Amino acid sequence: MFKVRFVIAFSTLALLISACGAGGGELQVNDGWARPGLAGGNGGVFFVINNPVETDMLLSASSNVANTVEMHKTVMQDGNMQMVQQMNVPVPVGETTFKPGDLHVMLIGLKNDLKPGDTFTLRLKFENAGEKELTITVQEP
Amino acid sequence: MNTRVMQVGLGLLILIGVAMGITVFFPKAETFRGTLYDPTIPAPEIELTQGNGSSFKLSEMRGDVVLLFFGYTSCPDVCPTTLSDLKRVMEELGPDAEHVQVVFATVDPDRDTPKKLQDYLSLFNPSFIGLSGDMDEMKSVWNSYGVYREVATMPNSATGYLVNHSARLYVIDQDGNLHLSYSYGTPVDDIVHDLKILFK
Repeated sequence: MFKVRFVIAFSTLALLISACGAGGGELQVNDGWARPGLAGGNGGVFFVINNPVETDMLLSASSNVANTVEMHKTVMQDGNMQMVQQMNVPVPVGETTFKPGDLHVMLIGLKNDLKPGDTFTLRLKFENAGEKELTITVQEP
Repeated sequence: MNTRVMQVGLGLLILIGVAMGITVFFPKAETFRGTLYDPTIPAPEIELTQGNGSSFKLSEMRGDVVLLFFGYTSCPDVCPTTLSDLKRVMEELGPDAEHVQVVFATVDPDRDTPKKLQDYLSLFNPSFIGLSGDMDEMKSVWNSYGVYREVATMPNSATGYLVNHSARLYVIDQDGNLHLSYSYGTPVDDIVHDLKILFK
């Protein structure tokens, strides 16, 4: 009897550990890309945040390729486009995607042309996960 | 009874035959996937300056299909997304693309000079034409096409201001008529599909 109880308890514990482990790991940012742009103009950067840990907050973005870097969200209302600046972006557990027509990082005042194939570094500062650096590749438009 | 059944069967066969005949001899016209102007209406004239400094007149584009979009070069998202889609439309049209002209008219004439527009559009396709003018000229064009356009000042943003605007794509056919329009995000395949109908 004791043996059966021990096996059940052990199995339950193992299941719980594996369930917790499925969401383990640290926040990652992948698939970064940007549109081409002209010096003096603006650009858009897109990426995917995978957050397996706990609700986090993206506080800011920065890069050396532009005078200013901001976070914006495109909102379509009755067929009209509006851009709303985001002072920070909540990052719930799971996937948060910065993509065209939605959340994006805006490069304002590009210092040089961004041509397809160029790469640059984008730094993202999270409230809990700290600073993440990722390489952004400029893609064909 | 048997005769009755045979009569009904024969009637059904005749009906099916007639239906098949109609389908074969009067095929249903291919339907557009975009929003159709029914009836089509003459596209309001546009006369503005293009990138090389010369004058552009929409009425001189007769014989070609014009894809008209209103946007601005500082727009980091909706405008480049639409221009990327139009680049793909041109690629997928193949030889028909020679008879299609993409025209991008600014909603931000204070910042978008014709030259700046042209440099920007060259990132997508050098054949795209960018149009700008003074505020009064542009207002007249926006009004005639029902374009919503509003400057949104953003005190906390380095952009200074952004321009909220309608994001509709207009198709002007070979006869200079407004024929179709598309909302933002319409699949490239749908646009190509419709343009191929216009070329038949």
